[in-house]
Amino acid sequence: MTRLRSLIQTLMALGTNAYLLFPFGGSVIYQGPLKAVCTPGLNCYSCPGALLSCPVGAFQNFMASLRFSGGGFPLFGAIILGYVGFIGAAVGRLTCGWVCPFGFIQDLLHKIPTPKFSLWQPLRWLKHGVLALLVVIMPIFFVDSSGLGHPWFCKLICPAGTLEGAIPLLLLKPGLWGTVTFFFWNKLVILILILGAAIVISRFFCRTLCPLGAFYSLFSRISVFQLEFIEGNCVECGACSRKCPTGVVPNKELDSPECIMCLRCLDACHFRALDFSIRRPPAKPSKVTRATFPL
Amino acid sequence: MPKKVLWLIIIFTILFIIGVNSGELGFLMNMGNTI
Repeated sequence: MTRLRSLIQTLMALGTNAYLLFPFGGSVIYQGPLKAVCTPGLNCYSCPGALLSCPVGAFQNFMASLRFSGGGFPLFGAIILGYVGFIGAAVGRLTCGWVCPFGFIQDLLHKIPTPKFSLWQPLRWLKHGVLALLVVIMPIFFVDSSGLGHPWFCKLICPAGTLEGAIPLLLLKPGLWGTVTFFFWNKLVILILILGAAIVISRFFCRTLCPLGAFYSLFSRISVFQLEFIEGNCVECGACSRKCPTGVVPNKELDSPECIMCLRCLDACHFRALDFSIRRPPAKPSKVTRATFPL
Repeated sequence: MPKKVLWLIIIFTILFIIGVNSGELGFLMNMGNTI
């Protein structure tokens, strides 16, 4: 399963960044029709190779555009809401584990042999704050002098944007160095800290800061696919939790919002106490009829 | 599959189809140049 996941992650990372004309006189950023489609994971649409748009960037632009909708609902938002909502309801955070290119980069970094640490658990809540503040609230209310909202997560934090977008663009077009501001240096420091943290703490960014992961985690308890626990087979050896990259204890926290469905726990369990399946409807409680007695 | 998730999938699919047919795809396509 691990090899299959690595293969899919590699294919998705290369597939979503498959525009190869930028070094050969083509446009530095792909601007074709595929840019109308979002990638399911976090992948900067300013990356020279990116064929698809980023759902987080698109969603922030939707929030910023609400100011100009005159009280109406911009239909552009329907595309984004429909898209990320569909992915969330269908597969939830499986996207983080199997498809997201930035998650894949963190998986590779964590393979570097160094001492490893576990995450301070309260930090997991931070990503929900990032989603609410930087992706939803600030693009609507924090505007520049011309009244335009901005994608604040992209501007202030997004490490995928710095790694896949800003740095390659500055290398390809040295003339852009003149436009570099505080925001770039701020994000460069954040990128270095996040990549450093990802070496010693598995999936550091996904667990603490990723707004897309926070959004998909809202669907963890209802999404179509689920991790199933077969209690009778479990010997509580702890092999599953030791292998989990997001610190979940699968036999105690089923449907955890932190589970990225990488299925490493399935590989680790030799007693078949875990299974991956399509979620079944909850069992209805049997009807208890009260006996009535004639008076 | 629970009915709740089935309804959510249907609602999000309808939202997406409405958005795609609104002719606002160009907005999304141009965003790569604005950021």
